[in-house]
Amino acid sequence: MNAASRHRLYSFFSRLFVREVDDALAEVLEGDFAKALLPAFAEAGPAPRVDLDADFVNLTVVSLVPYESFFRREDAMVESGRANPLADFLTRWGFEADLSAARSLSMDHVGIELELMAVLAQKEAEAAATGAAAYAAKVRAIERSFLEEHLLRWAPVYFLAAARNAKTALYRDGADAALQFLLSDHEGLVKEGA
Amino acid sequence: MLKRRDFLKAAAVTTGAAAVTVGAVRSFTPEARAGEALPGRWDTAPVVDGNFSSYPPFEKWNGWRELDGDDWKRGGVLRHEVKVRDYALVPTVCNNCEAVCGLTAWVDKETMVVRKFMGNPLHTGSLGRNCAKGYAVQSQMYDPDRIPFPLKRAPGSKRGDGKWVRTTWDEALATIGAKMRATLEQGDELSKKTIMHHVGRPNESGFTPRVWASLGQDCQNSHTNICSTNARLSSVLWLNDDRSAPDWENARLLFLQSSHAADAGHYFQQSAGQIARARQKGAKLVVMDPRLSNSAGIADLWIPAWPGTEAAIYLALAARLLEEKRYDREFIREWWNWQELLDDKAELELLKSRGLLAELPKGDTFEDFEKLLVELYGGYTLQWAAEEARVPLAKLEKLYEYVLYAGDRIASFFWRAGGSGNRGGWMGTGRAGIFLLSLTGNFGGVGALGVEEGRVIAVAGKGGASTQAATPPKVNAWNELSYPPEWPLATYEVSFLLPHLLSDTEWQEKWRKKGLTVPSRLSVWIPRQYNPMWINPDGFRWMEVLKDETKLELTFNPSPTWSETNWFMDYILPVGMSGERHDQHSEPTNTEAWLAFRQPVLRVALEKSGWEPKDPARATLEAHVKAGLGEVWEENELWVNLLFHHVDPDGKLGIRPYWESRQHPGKPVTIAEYYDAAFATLPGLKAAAGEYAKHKSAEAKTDVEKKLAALGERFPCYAYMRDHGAWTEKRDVYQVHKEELHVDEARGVVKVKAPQWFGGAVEYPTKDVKTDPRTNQLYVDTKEGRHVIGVKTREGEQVTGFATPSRKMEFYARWFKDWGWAEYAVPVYPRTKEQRASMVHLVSQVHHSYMTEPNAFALNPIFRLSYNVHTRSVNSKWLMEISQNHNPLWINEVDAARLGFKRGDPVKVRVVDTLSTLESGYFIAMCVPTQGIAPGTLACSHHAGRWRVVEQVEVPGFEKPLGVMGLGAPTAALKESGTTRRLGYVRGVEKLHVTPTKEFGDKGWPFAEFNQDLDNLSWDGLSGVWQNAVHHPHPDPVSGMHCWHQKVLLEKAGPGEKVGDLQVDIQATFKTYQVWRDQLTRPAPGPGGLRRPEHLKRPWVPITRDAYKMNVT
Repeated sequence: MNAASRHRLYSFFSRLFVREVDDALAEVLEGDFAKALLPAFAEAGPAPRVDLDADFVNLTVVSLVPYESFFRREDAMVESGRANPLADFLTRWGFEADLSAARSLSMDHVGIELELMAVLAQKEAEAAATGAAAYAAKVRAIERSFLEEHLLRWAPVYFLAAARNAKTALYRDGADAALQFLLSDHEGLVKEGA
Repeated sequence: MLKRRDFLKAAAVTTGAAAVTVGAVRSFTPEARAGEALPGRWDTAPVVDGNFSSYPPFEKWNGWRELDGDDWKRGGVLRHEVKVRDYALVPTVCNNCEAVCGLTAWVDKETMVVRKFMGNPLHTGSLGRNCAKGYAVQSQMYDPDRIPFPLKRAPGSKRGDGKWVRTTWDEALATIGAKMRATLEQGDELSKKTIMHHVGRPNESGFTPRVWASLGQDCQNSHTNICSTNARLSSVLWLNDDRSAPDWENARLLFLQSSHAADAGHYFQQSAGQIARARQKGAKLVVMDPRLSNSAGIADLWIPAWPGTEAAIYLALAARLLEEKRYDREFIREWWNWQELLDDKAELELLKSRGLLAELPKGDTFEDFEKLLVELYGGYTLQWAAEEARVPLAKLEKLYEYVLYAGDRIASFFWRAGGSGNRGGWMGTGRAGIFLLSLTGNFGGVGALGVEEGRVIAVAGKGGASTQAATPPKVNAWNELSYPPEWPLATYEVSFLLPHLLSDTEWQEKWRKKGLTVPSRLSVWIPRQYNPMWINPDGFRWMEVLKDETKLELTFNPSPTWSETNWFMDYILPVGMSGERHDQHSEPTNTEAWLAFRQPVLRVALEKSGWEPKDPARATLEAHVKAGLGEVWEENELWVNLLFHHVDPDGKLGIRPYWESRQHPGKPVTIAEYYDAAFATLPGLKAAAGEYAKHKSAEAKTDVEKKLAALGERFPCYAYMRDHGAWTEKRDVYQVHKEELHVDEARGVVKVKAPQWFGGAVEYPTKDVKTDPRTNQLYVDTKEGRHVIGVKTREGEQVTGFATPSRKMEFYARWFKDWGWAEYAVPVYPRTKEQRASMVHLVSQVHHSYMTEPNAFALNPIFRLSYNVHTRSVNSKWLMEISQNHNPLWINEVDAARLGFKRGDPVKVRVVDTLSTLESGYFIAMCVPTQGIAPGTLACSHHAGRWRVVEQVEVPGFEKPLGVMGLGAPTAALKESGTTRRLGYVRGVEKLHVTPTKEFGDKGWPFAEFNQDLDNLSWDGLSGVWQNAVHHPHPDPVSGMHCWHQKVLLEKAGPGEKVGDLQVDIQATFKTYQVWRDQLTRPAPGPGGLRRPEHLKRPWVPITRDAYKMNVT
């Protein structure tokens, strides 16, 4: 799968799990892309926005904790300060997290981590498009390391739990798809020798 | 098993697959990362020694960007944006108590408001830490009720009518200056006693005394006699030092006598940190106080001694040490003045005649002195002391064990209620306490008791190098209103009796007939940041005098806030608080000599941003207006402008040269000029500041930085302190009595301090210095007699010794005897009923022998709350929130049950004086039964119980009414009938709705941005009571201290009586003052016809030796 496609997929999953459905996302969900990606959701048909909002809050605030530090710290606390595991990674590669945009407590929110992958994939795509193959390869290596050092260490557990706890077809199918995509993408990066 | 999806298929669908991320991940360019201007970027959290630091590195104090705390506070995911603040950190010093902890104001450079106050990590006393009062400075700064412009009593109204008009600083200064000038132009003796400056907590180290010295007035008054003069006298008697200074951190025994230094006492929170570190190392903590304070609660041993009986315990423990020969013989032999006692046969005969000695010593050797000690104190047994203090004997045995364990490492601070509560409290604190502790050689060393001398840096009065004339001459006057003849040994001014002395025409006439020029009025009275009517005993007597324009002709209070006293002022002139004023300040809080610099932080931040004032001598006022704080000034510039432009504009009074710039003749001296000169008197600071100035010049890049660097080159010491806020001139200040004598070998002279307090330095040829072979004292024979200048130690070194006349620790205070107190010239305490009758000066007015009625109690009103300091904190919503309902009447559960009181009951507290036997009146307090107080005693802190008579004041021409103490004072009604005065609360503190005004800008008064939460107040203030109003004035016959404790009779409140109600007969309280004065004091003149011993400290203004002479018939 090319980088541009991966960018679109990471962007979608990021958006799905970072904030509630708004008009822009609703439009995407009504399109062919979502129907192809989330067949069970497409089959179930549209749900009231209030149910989707309730389910989102259920999966990201009430029942589950979508933060890497929660899953990886022994004391299961969300690290909202500079000691967050993502802080060094972001700084090292010239990124910063806008917590306000994500309405997030800390930078290791699943939506932010997925968006970071989307941004990296986009940079890879731009590099490839301009013939900067070496740069594209370097970015791809960063993507793989991020998956291995961060996302894959905890997000699969989160998405498994989300799929089981979801009360709407959108989030049940979405969580399942996100999990599969992460595994599939990592498989692809490994095969390509990233 | 998961069903594998075909992501390729989905990815191939491009319709409806627009990028929908929220933009939570941004990349930044390397250029932006290095720069400061990128929105959204903030500085990396500082790490020191592997841990996060609360403070940025000093190099970044002028530009530190961090996330705004409000975004987190307001709910994490619900917030709309994360705001990055660009701060300038400006150091200053807390002004809410005496501890002088460092602060940094975090000034938002975008809006020029202070977002928060934190500590100053460069301050080696407070180490970057603060208590609640320090952080609350911000809520005080933006208190919606702070006074935004000078207020003047409305023409035609009377004091207390509550009619105010807005005036200008220029009008106020012109009117006040004209009055002061007219007074000074009279030029007679009386005119030197009638412009009185009366401070609460001075919180500065010498600037204002220089002002009053330049005015030629003996009129600098203080609050010290309602605070600590008994404790100070105890230190003066042993050491001629102002106060003992412990080395908490290295002690083995931390002994707190009614000083709760681990939670709220003097120098809290610095002491608390040192005490905690000592306990980590294994030190024992002992608290002696009838009340189970927080310190007592965490102590290894709590000794709830009956108030005023502490000396009994000290002398009994000392007797045990002497009996068991567990004392440090060599220390005593070398450093006590035992020879002086053995040589004074008359004193020994007196002790014998009073039954304290069975027979006189047979010889004059140290061994004879040891025998004398054993005999003198043999009757003070631990069993007797336990009964006298009403504590279990086992507790005293345990304390004795701790004393033996700690040896020469016992840290203590003899302060607060033990001294301040009781008649003779000077004996009950350090006079007996230092006796005990020094027996084990516990003085001056690591972990021991020390002296203040050498640990305090007072240079604020030493900026004379910046002015046309350097040092004002000594004042040739003695003010009987501050130092009345009845109290020649008063440690500080007897200021709490000012209204009584002004009212007592009989007393005035008595001394006038004898030849003294006693004032009957003050032409100008200035209670600087002080609220004496509320905090002194007999408050309604103050009210009477405050209202009387024949006694106080013109009054003004440089004050940031409203107060009970201010209601009766002619002018209220709004000056700044912790972060709004210049003061140099230093205190002996540890074993260093450090000083700190209080600053108007908005002014400094503005100047660092390139702003310049129109008038450099009024820069602080201009800056505060510019920053929206209102027309808030500071006293330093206020005094300079008042004296320079209005009191002595033509220089004819000789005052102006002391405030005229040396660099710019014809102009008043500026803050930078003056303080640079003052700080430059410290060699260590001067050297460091020079280096710092060079460094700043070298790194300056922008125009503003270059301008600041140029200022720093001109005034390096000022610039250093402006940027750092604190400096430590000396560390490890121990054994100051072993400092070498200052000998100038080249000139062949020795330079020492003169025997007189104001004598300055004197020089003697070294050949004239002799050694007394018996005492090892170094002395010079002068025409006035022997001047002891030091001590030759066992090692043969010539050292300064202590500041006493003998240069030794004075077990026997010869001068005390010479001034009429021979029976107390050595540490004693009455053991029998007969001795209590003959030693009444040492018997607390609340001694248990006075508690003859079943409902009689000893009331302690003077324990400190860690979040309130007397009158300073009513303007902080944060502190008021913490302190709600913290003014109960503590009573032991057994006593409460016996009298039928339950928690929350209103209790009538009738106040009785045990000397005059008069009852002054009563107050109603909220009862809280507890096991945390000794039976028979009560506690009710007088830090609460504020009141106001109106909620707000209309000021003609100003768009909104001014609120009056709206956060901490319920509204009260005052009633007057004959000599009876009443006060009762009518309404509690209520919610405020703060909306912006336009006059001082969007963020200006009443600071709506910072006070949006005041519609959610959780307190009403109705649990407190103004008990001081009902207190009898109790002047200690020696120190002049108001002895705070009161004998009270408890009964249930009557129908309709509620907490806060009070009634007092001001005739009864006035008579009590007269009885204490006339029955107990021993007036001057003393030896040589003097008003006071010349070696005693006499704050604040230097006076001539002629002024000491009391020419009476």
